Amino acid sequence: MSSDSDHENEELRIGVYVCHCGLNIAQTVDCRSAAEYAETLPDVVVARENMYSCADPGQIQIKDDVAEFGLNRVVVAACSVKMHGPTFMNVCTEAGLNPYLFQMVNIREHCSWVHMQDKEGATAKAKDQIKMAVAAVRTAKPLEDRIVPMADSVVVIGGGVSGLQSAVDIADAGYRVHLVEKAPYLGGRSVQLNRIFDRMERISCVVTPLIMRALNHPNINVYTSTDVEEITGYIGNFKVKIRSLGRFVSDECDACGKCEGVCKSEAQDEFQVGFGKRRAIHLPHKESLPYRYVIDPLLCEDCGACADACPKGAIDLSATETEETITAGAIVLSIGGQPYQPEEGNRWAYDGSNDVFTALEMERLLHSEGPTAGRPLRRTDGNLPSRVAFIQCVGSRDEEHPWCSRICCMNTIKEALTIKARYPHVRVSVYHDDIRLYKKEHEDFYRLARDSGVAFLRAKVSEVRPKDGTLEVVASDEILDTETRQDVDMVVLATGTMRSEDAQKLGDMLKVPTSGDGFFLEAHPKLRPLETAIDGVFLAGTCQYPKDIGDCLLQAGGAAAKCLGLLSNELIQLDAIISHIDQDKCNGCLVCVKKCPFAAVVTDEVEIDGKKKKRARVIEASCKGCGVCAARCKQGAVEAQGFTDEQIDDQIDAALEEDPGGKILAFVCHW
Amino acid sequence: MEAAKDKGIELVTNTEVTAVEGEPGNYRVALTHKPWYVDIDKCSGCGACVDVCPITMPHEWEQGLKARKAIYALFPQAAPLKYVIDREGCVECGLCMQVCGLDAVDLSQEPYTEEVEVGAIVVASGARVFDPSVIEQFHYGKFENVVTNMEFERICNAAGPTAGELVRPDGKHIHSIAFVQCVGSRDLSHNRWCSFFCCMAAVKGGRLVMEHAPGAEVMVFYNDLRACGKGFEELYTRSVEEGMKFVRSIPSVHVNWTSNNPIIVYEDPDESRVVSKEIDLVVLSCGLEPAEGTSQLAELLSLEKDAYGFLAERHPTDGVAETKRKGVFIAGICQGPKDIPDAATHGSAAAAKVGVFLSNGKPQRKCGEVDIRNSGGVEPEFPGGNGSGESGQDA
Repeated sequence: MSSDSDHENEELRIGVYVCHCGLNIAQTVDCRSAAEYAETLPDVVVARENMYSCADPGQIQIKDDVAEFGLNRVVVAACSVKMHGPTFMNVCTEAGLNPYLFQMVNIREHCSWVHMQDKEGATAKAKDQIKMAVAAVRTAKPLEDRIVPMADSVVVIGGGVSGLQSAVDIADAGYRVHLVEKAPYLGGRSVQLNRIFDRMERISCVVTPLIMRALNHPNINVYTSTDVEEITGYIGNFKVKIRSLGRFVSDECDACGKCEGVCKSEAQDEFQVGFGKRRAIHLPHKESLPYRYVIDPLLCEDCGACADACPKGAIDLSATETEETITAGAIVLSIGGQPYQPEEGNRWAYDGSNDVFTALEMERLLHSEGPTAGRPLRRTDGNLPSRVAFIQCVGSRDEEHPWCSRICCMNTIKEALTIKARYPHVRVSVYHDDIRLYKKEHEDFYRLARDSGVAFLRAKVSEVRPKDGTLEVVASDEILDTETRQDVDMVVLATGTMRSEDAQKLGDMLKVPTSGDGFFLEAHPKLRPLETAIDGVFLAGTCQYPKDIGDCLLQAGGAAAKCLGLLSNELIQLDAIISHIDQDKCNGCLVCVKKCPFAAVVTDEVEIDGKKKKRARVIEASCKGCGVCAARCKQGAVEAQGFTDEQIDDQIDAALEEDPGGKILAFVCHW
Repeated sequence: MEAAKDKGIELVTNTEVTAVEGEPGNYRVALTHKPWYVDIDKCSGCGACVDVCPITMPHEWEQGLKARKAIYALFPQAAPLKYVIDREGCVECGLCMQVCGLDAVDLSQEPYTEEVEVGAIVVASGARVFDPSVIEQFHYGKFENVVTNMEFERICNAAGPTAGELVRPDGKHIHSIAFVQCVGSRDLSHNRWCSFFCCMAAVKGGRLVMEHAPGAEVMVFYNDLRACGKGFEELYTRSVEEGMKFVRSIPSVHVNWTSNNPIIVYEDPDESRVVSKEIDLVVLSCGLEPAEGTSQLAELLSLEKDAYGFLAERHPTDGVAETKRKGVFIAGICQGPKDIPDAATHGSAAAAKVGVFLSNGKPQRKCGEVDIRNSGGVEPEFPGGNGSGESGQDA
């Protein structure tokens, strides 16, 4: 006799626990009456109320009752199953009960909090919910958690500061890291910048050592000029297919630059944000790491002059793209963001040819390796400006981009101070709404800028008008309550940060959701800022939200900690709430394969009566237990374990036994 | 709850670190356990003792807005939920001993010190809230209907002294409220830094009032509204649309002693005139400052303090979770004010640093021998193999 039928023949002994949650529930729901009602339900042997079911006394009570009354089913009516489901499942396990012989209903959010003005109604609804849970728990089956192997390596997608830090931390703990970067160099956006607020250290002082550690680390495989093509698999066993550009220039390259001299093809230099040109063969930037020339295959005309000119014989124009698939136990997403670029016809008169600059352009101007060797010169006449205006919140805090980009205020203060420090006579003003700073040392930096003579104007800029070689900034000043006009020689737009252009693609591949602002959505905004809805996928850096370098490094370290926690296990446990497909009932329509949002249902070819037929199968480790397949299947071939049709039917019957006309019943998320 | 249940964590509460010796990777830490006067191995947290205790004292958890007994647990979801006796108040009447069915009360307990050996130390000792009674213009401490943001948190809390009912300390329901930002913060006479969390805490508090008392008037007096975290600006904008009033002004608070209402006096920037307005409650958004005992803790651990008195990180950009002392790490607001997500992230980052430090480059498990890069795309076997050619062999 199987253990299943053992359970079926067993006498049901159900315990029900109604939680007060202090007064969170008890102030609206009559918990005593709910518990008394529960005691009248079939097979309920004990029903109790607790002040806090989740606290020690509540937990001990359940364990004691399992022993004393021989309970074989437990129902808790309390808060969200998301919050305390695992707590009570653990209590069941400790009491010697299979944790899936348990149901939880949320009478806090679903009754007390939403029906605060209707105590009677809330109590009646709580009773119905308890009745439904008792109905569902009656046919609950004991389930076993899934055990899956955990690969001992991590793929980090994005080689900016965040990806580098995650990679180095994980590799330092002894695990293999595959660091995948789209650009031909490491460091991402950060290496385009000049200095770090507020200590004014050069970016390269922080980032170059980090890049060198990654490049020289025996546990890190670095892939530059590499794109992620496809990701399949699940926590413990992700398969990441990557495609790398042909390695036209080998490690023999010592960056002597002779190739560049003979190359005829030119394009805008993207690293210098449009200032100047570069050749098809070029060093991406002066401190580029890996330190070797790269060839832009879209621009190269295959003339072969560079190969002939190279004294090292390092150039091979016949190199081809390579593809490989990497296995990883976990993935760190660190693809960064991108700066807002003002559209044509914008009100700040930005067109890339006059003296209106973006913040990133100003970073290049102020950088000693930039197009002007660190001097903020005007584009139109190459002169130093005597009046500079910064405009805040460009592409932030507006209708189209309702979020605040967090870092632009400090960045402006930094750029303004850099100009003031080098050219004290230049008049610098900042048009701003709120000045938003968020770390202990920021306020001092802001004060230093004011003391240095930077004028902070609380004013909304309506327009910048080019006028005889100068720029007129038209604004409405909040303090003076009037329109102001100021002629300046240079305008700098504090452009906001938006999600990366690759966010959509990678989000779709991994099924990682995004929030309203387009950035990747963390699992919990307060307590789980590093995790995503997908087990084993973590977030680091600006792809989650705009951040300064210090915060990027912290979040990346945190994501590394999460990976290390997973990787330290050879096997990991996943819950048993998944779908199961009975291939005898499946008719091969494969709707479930198409509809599964997690690519967890696959097609098998099986032989039935000598003919090859298609049948669906669930990859247990990939299944998130959402039940979409079970809902779609017309054959009744899919069973969502823990949410069987029988359980749902019984819950419907229980809910609608009394006053069905006065109720609306909906089965929504498992929350 | 998660920490209390984790088998890898031994939760040691009611305890202070009194000495630290040794070197990175091998610290000896003296833990001085304060007496509970209750045998916590026996105590089941039933609370029968509380009912019979005749002594009432101010409740520090409830910011003094409610009383507690001399035998108490700070709050019902405390982990571990064990009762403790405050000997300052206890009169040794013995009633709790009589009622305790588990014979857990033990007034003879003495403090004792034990030494534990650890490889690394994480300091996450928090901060304290600025005390606004030193600023006269707000009448805090002299008039009950001016409260701090921490006191207001308790008033809002369903498990708090008012059971979540939004009433001010004198019992009247709150229909109009003013939040005053930057109290003691961004202020050269007090704390010159910004505490960051207080702006959004005020927006959240204001929304709670509007939800509980529809039509309630909520005013926030601010300087710069620092809604620069994920989703913050959106919540701020929505609050403005829903009628929360944000006034860029620093007010002072007067009192109508007849109605017991605070009067908020401010310059209205829209109307360019001074306005005085009688309302139900004033909440002072007090910032964070270094916790009491930070200097002693710094001395105990040989750590440096920063210019503001918080514990100093190794480097403000790439060493924020570390200290200058190897093997000693830092997390949360003892390093400087933060909101919850930033503090949680900081904690995880410190965990990574500890993990790396303690692992010494040796993985915690058996790693595979197959290097996926040379495996020609063939799926490696599980468990074990997957692409760690060198890992585990370098240390």
